[in-house]
Amino acid sequence: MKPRVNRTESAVGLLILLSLLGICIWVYERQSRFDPSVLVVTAPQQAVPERPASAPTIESPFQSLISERLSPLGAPEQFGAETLSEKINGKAELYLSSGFVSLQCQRFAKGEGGRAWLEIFVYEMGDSSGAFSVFSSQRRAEGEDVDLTRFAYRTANALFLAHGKDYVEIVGSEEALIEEILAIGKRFVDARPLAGGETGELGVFPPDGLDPASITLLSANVFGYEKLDDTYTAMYTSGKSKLMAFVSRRESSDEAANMAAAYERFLLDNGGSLIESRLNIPGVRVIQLFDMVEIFFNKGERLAGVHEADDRDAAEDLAMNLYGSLP
Amino acid sequence: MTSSSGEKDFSRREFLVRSAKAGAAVALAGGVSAWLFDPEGPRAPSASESDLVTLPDFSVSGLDRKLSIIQGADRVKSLDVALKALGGIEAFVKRGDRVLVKVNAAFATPAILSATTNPDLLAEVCRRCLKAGAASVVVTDNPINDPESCFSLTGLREAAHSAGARVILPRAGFFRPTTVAGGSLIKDWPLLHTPFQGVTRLISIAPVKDHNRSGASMIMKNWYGLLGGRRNIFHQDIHNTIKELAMMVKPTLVILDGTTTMMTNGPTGGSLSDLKATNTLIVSADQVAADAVGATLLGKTVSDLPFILKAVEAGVGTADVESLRPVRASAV
Repeated sequence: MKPRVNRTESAVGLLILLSLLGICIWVYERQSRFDPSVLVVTAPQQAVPERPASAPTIESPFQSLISERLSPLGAPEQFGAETLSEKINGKAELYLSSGFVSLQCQRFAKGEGGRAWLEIFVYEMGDSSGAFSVFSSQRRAEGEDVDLTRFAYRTANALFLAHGKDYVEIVGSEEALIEEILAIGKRFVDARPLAGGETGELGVFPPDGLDPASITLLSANVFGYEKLDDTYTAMYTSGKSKLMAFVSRRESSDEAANMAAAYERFLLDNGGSLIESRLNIPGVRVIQLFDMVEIFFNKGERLAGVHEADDRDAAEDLAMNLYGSLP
Repeated sequence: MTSSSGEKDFSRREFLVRSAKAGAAVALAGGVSAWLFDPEGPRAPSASESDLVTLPDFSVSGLDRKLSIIQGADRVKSLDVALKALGGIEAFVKRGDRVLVKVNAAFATPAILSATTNPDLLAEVCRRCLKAGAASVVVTDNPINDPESCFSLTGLREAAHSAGARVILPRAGFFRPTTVAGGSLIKDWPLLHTPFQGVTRLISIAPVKDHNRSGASMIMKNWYGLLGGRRNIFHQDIHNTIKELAMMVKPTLVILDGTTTMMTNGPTGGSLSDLKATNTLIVSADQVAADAVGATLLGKTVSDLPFILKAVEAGVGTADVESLRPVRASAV
């Protein structure tokens, strides 16, 4: 005997079917509607989690850094190479060209009303050189060194530091937050002890006359020469003279020699003239460029020298010191 | 077969028939869905389609060559002097006008960092427009960071509301595709369009900032905030993009705020040490001239900023500032 289906069951079944039909029509209509605020170009798959985690329930990666006086002003955010410009717009290129991997950031408010707040930015770079590169290229001249890690300084409202492969900015909405900011920086550094030697070439600059805060890593197009990249520069004071030394580590000693020869050609093509050296450095080049001299040499895997010096005697002294300090 | 409750149960045959029907229904629904599914999604309407939008010309005839450059640390006083020199806000905004103020709210940063439009200046501009008889003043931008945070943390939302203006935050449905006539980059690109509906006057207020890619972010670069989509691709050809942005918009008035200039590490800045008190407010109907003056506050010339010369070549305005006979005054 055929089982009966009562009216209620039939009505519910019909309702469900009509609902499903309605959903199908809605989905079909929506998928054919252009929405320009949504990505026009489909982003490629990223290894790094992309868009910020917007759910307020997500645990903050900075929880261990902040004091009880601070409370989250928003959810933590995370950006990868494809989305970094959504956070820092035109400055993204600076990071991308230095090996940027990811950015984590979050705002925290102090006290009631959220008028005083700070934001923590942790940029994970590919290595310590990348972190140092973005640190040094943005260094504020008025910044005051802070004894947190080797590369750290503060301004009236912010702290900037490079620590291992991380570049960190902690920016306050007002100057009164600076002590809170420094405390966060200290907790960050303390929680991440570094193994030695993570700062690459920085130790090769001879200490006499060196301004340690001036050390900068230029990632590309160094001194206007497009083939020269990954070069550390440092400023020296010698009497009344200001000098810039540079060191660029290449893949091999042969490549260092080739780069020295190529750099020589570049300078000669741009108005330089080779002059006789007075230095006891094998293969050294001294090039007169207008009223300045460029002294450089290759030693082992490194190309090194003194860039555009007004004072030849001081430049030669520095070049000798630099040659002696290179391994 | 009878169940323990006494109701008739399905026979084995009936069960199989009904299962087969249910399976067929599921298969049919799945098949139809697969057939209707568009894996590539909808495309932006092409230029040939009629729903491409362009912005109207908001400039006021006869006032397009006005420029005032005012010295002073107080933005409100500087604005007062600057507008008086140009005939007052009433020369630009008439009774019944609907005004849109395009601010730079790009980043969720505090006002003291000068990465965004100054809230006091915004409030004063809105107040003056309403006092001149504007029927409404709306404030908008499509920020880099999330709009809610940007407008609240910069103080712009509160400033607009305090002056009687309305803030319109961008939403998905507010964008329509646009193509810049004579341009080659901005084509079929989403434009923040809905806030412009009914608008008769357009005022831009932007700070003077260093910019890592373009060298400077001022008035012309500020129109970037009218674009949607993955607009960061425009950074690959930033100077031509800024030129096309300037071609896209013909404002009523622009206010370039160089009271505090972000000299380094722009466009985000982050430190007070990136800033310099340059104490200059530039008000003009010519956006190119305004940027040409702003360049000097950054220690640059127009030749250092290719987008300015490109905009001149495109006929957007002039970089020959003196040809406009600018009014120079002090608000101290």
